[in-house]
Amino acid sequence: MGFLSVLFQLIIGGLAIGSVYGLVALAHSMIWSGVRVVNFAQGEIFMIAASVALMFVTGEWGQTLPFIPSAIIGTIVSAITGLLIYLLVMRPTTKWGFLYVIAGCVGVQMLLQNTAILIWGSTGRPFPAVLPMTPISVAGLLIVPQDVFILIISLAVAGALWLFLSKTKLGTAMRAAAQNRPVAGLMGISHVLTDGLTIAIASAVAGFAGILLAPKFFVTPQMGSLINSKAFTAAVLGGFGNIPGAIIGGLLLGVLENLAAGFISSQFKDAISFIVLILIMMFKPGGLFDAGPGRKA
Amino acid sequence: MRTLSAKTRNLTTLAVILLFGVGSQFLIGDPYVSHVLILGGIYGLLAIGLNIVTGFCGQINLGMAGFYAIGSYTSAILSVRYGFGFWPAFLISILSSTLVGVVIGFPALKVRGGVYLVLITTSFAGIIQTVLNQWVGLTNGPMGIVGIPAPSIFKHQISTLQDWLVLVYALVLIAALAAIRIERSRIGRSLIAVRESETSAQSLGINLAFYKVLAFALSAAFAGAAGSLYAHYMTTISPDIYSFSTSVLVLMMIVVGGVGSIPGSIIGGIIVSVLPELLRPLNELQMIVYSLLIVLSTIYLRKGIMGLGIDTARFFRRTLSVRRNDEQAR
Amino acid sequence: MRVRIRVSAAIFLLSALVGFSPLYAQDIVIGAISARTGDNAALGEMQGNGAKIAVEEINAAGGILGKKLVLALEDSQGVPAQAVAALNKLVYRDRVVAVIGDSQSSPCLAMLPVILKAQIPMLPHGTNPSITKQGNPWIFRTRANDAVKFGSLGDFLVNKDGFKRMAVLHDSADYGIGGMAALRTTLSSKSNVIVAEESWTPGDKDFSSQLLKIKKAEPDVLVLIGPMVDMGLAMKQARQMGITAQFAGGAGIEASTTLGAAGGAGEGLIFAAGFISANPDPRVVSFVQKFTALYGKKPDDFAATGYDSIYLVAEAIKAAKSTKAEEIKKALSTLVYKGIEGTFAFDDSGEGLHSMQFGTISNGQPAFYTPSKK
Repeated sequence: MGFLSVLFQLIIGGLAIGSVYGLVALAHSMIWSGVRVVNFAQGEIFMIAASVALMFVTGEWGQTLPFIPSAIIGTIVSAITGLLIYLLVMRPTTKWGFLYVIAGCVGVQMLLQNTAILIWGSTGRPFPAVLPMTPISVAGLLIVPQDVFILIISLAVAGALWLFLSKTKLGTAMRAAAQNRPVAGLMGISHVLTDGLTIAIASAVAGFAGILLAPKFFVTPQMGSLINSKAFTAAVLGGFGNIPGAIIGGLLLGVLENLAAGFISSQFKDAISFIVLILIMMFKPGGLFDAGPGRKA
Repeated sequence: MRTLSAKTRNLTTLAVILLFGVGSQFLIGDPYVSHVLILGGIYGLLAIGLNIVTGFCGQINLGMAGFYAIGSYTSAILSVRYGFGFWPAFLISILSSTLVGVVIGFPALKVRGGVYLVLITTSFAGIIQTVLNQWVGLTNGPMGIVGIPAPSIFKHQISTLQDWLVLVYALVLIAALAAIRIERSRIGRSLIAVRESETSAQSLGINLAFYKVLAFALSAAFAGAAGSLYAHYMTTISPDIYSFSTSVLVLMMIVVGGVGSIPGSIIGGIIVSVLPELLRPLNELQMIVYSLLIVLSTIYLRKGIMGLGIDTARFFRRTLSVRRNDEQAR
Repeated sequence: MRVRIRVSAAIFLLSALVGFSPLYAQDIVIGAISARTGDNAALGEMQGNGAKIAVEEINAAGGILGKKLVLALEDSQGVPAQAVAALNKLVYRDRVVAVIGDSQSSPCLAMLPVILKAQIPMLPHGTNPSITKQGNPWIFRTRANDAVKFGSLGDFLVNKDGFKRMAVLHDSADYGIGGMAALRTTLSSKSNVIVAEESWTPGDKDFSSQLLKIKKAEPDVLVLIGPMVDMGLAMKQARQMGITAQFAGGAGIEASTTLGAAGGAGEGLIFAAGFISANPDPRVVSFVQKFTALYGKKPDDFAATGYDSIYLVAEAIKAAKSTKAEEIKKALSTLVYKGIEGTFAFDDSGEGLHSMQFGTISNGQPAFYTPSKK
């Protein structure tokens, strides 16, 4: 196998999973820039969406629904879960400091994960794939259609979100509130509306990411915890609060991890992301795309 | 003056509770409760450490598992492989942990804000865990280290649970007193000043860098001590123990016990150890109720149990003194 | 001040009663410890379910020595300190006659000194060889340790089945590292058989970088060692990458969870296990049927170990005609018992299972495997 083809495969694989990191990272950044809080239980929302969608796809609740309606239900459930977590846990604790937000969210994380174990059992279940999982050969390189699907859909979602935020009235209102809260309020933009929408949309995106990744990776109650830390790193890479940066950060992280594991050592795959993180924190805390002085987190 | 006496009241409450709790176990010698209390004491040390850096100085540290690990592994390797006695190993563990704490303090200086501190400290702990897993020559990797010997003090080997109770809580008391001395000293006040407002502290001539690094070093020292005790008590350690969940557990301890309160740290450590046991009869619901209680206590018990304790005592005193007055009146 | 003293005293005298359960007075209680929440909850689920079936069968047949058998399940969360707490509760509150588990090695190691003090038999399910090397006479392991499992697998694949280029993909936990070490030891006389060795962090789900390196080494057999879901995904991704090597592994690789994650890539793999669900032995058949009917999933070897462990304790009690720990220990050390995982005979160090059977996956179902020398 030539060096270039190895490189290419590593990159494609990294991009696919990176796009999912990117979507969850996008949720983090969106919530941060709009509402100035961090939901550490984002990974669990990811997991719940996938588990709920799986329930409908396999007909555990009676009828079997095809992929798209199941995905929609899963996404709606994740939006609601995100809103509930925000209202019940994050809002009260943000006033007192980051420490309490983390403690509260970790509690929520444990609660959701253990409830998932209670409802669905602890062994994982497969999620039927949308596109074939067998690879096709394109110019001598093996590409899995499902991976390409994940990548394209993720980018589409990110793109749609960008359109919504920049072109629609509602989206512009949300951006205004993110940029300057008090003035936006004075202009008649309801904070309740923009905050709620931000949280709902961000959680929905994170949930949808879970549904996208489910066929590739299997649905388990623990699938959220792994994504949590990676998505966070991706968000920071792209600049916390920087929405397009989050997607790029995710893609970059996915590819970087793969390249590191492929060319340096699989043993140190995780350690490498930690080291990269520390270096970024020390030298470019605003993320790779940070133009001016980093916003105080 | 009122704040000081409230703190002293809390301290005496804590001392009394510990005396009774540990004392009763010392007499009864029930292994089930004793183990949970011993663990609670070790956790208390971790919590004190975290309270110094996060409670007093306001620097969020989610990497306590890393310092804990260094304490455990230093102590274990020295005693198992090189035949060091417990006390030298214990002291060296504290030292090595503190050194690493200083090292971590520096990157922590460069970042501003909670999110970034979280990331740096988490990454640090993650690197430590990876190194523990991969450096098989030093740490035996995932197979862990077995057969860590028990300490002996003045020729008496610490073998029974009662011995351990005394050892751990004696150290906890010493640690608590030390921490409280720090809290009330100029160092403590400077740390708290840094937490309250970095700019104001600077204007008062407080060297931010020095105190932040000091905070990390101190927290590492306590965690290192806890780690060494843990290793010798459990007799076996492996890298999987020193995970992110453990760092988060220490965070729970100070939130539940009361952020910034030293007695709260110990109470928090004990609660985190005892609570899951109290909930065991619930079987599948054990962890669900546990996590629910954590969430509720985070939202409703902002001052932690110590905050609650003051209110409860006042309530009791009021109700009981009313009764006493009635009796006297008759 | 007086009030606080009274309240505190009350709280802590009550603490002595924590977990007090007088309910089990007339029954024989066996404790089972495993992770039932957290990352490895799947292990505990299987262990518990398998054990439950054994308990129910034994009670239906009249119990042991005329008494009802009760199973006390505890959660260790896979954390050593919690495993010790659970053990203490089982021993000092529930008065169990024996303990089965933990399913993971790290908690088992932490439990050893407590067992030594408590002096009751423990049947660990962790496979780290050092568990039985601590000189603890109360330990009776009911699963083949990693050395036996992977040693015999390596020997089988190379010497009996004729594979010449072996690649190993293992996790970085003690299971993977121990298994790899066992493979190396067994194959040490055959130089150059192992052509690639890659590892992953358990829970990690993307193996593209490791698999690419493995593909480069052109192996004819790929041995996988790690958690079930991970192994399944690795096999799926390997096929997607065009790796055509034969898959092989130890018990767990043939479980329905693994095959589900592999999505068809598991077809034809070779595995070494004590328990093969395709075993026509009537006890195995009945176990598989009952398990699938009750829990909607096929049992894996953790379930089988749970089942066999309960029966081993029961048989020992019957043989000893006593529930005294010392008697049970004596009976276990001389017992020879055919369970669904194979025949158990505990040696001096406490190892109970000494050989493996080999199976394959045929049409998605486990079946026995006959080697074809290439």
